[in-house]
Amino acid sequence: MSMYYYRPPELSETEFALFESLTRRRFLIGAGALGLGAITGCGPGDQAGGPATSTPFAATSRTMQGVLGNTYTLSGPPQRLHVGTGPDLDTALSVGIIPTSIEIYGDAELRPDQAAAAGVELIRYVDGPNLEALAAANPDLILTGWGEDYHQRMAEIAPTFFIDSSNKPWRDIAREIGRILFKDAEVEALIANLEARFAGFRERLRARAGQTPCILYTSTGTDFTLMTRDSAVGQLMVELGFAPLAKTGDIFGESVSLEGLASEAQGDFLLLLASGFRFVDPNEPVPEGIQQFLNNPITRALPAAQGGIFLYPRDGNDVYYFTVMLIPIFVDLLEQLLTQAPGTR
Amino acid sequence: MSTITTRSTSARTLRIARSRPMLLLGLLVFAGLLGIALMSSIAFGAADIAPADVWQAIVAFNPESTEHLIIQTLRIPRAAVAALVGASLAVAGALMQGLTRNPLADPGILGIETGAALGVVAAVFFLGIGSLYLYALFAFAGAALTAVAVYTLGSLGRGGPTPLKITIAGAALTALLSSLTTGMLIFNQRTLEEVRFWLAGSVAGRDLPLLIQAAPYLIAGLLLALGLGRQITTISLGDDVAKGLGQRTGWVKGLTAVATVLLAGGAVAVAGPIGFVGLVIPHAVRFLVGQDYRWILPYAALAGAIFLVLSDVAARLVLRPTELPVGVMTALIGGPFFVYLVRWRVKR
Repeated sequence: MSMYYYRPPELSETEFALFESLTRRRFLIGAGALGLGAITGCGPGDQAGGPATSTPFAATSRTMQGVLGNTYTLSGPPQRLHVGTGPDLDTALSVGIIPTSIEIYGDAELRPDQAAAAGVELIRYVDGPNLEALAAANPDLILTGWGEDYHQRMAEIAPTFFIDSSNKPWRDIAREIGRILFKDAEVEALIANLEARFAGFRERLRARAGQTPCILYTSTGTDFTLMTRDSAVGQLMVELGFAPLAKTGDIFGESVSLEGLASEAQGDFLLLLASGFRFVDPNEPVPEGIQQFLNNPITRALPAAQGGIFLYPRDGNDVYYFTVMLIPIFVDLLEQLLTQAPGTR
Repeated sequence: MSTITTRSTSARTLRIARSRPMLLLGLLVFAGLLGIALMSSIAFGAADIAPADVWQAIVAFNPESTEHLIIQTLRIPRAAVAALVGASLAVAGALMQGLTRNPLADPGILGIETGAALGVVAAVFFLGIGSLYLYALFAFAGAALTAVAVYTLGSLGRGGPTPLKITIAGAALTALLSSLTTGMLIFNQRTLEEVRFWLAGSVAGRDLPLLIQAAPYLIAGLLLALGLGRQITTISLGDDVAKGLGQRTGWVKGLTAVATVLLAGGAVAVAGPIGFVGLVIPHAVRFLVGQDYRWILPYAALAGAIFLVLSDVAARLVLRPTELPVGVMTALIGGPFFVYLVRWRVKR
């Protein structure tokens, strides 16, 4: 049994800043510095990643169902967009729309100083959206993924659309948002670009085609979620040529104890999605709880661990949903991880 | 006439049941039940392991066998942690109920659980701590500091530390610290994610080194508490009575607070905040053995251990292979039982 860790490379200060910008946490600065094409892996002249490409379709007004079941007639892309969750934000940024306000929850992934520098207002979500701040931001379109109790009042501020993203296929999420933002063509180009990436991945890692990864998520090293084939990460692994475990339980994944893993953690290798990382420091140690799990003799004896344990340092919400912005990061890191094992290429 | 006869018979029965030999016998029975509970905890879990393998894992450990590793490194430490934590919480609860003469008192009245939670959340938030061993250290520090602060606040003014002042100081400080903890969790989702399981109270993943780290505090607390049985019985009759009987109440209150901090602080440090054990078990034990803390305390220790060990077994089995935090299970079992107990006492 071998263990493989992802380690960010040693970087100079400038490279470090660049690398930071590639994570969603620091995206807003990166968006300005790099151009949006860098995020999706396309060159600036590339149709797939070129920001705000206009399309004939985009000029036509369209009628769509809003959050309250009502219909809105939108005449073009928003000028003052408010976004509430990661998929909304990622998709908007990827198609070249910088929101004027973003709802943040918990530690969020955006720093207030960077957001302010980019002219974006961060509105903190505490037991509900801050409606006063939201109204003051004066959006002309609101995308939200939570706060059902507040939808009525949000809809009074601006046309509001609810984007349900939990374990929904990433293409569906992107297309739904792209349609609301009048960026269908850009979204399709992003999807085509990602599909090309998947094909490249499958080609380079064809030795692993059809293998079954046991995908575990943990934040503590003591309790685990076994991610099923139907989960967001499971669906993505299928696209990359793998055959993740199918479970009959909750599609979000099955909660399992360490003892339960002895029988449940089947597969050709163990992909451990572990949180607690800051992700960009090459010298950052593995969080102690996770390290204790890795050192545990029971972990090493798990059936799936016999094909290697691949530690993926999760540093965002890229477990329960995937977006056009998160996918390239995941795919690249996964390739780097897996190719460390002999015989992968 | 018949009512008087019945009452006199039932009083005689109660006297016999609570005679010294019977109470000693009861302790042996409880010790036996604890043994059975511990064996259940070792035998049952998420993995199906044959009884013969369980026995082999204990008497002829083979480090190459996953089943043996599960028994030796997961189930045995876990059962021991549950027993020690359960005993400590129940005794701490009994001490607080005796000292404050408040039937709803538990270690939380000194702000111990809130202080421990704040200690852990602050450690994760500010220092990025991610280890159960370090959680335990910060939890104990938070619990001890909070208890000292509550006791000091409750001792200010005339009359020294009175139950009422301690209760008010505890409630005020608990509210303050809870707000701070909530604030940190709202502003840092990562912290919430990392401490979520700890905050729910669990004995999962607790290993022998962690138990060894906390055991001295818990055992010292248990010994100190058991030595205070007579004094707590006296003080539970009221400060004036205790003083009239020549008791130095200040010392007794101080030592009881120290024992409570060692027991509840150590228990929370190891397993996180686990509710209902400190509240329910002393009531159940009092129903069996009466108001004498020389018996209440050892019985509470054994009953608390049995209760938490069995709750943990249930937490592992009800949704196998998913595990519930044992704190959820104690609330599920303890809540209805407590309501029943209160109704039964009101009827009497």
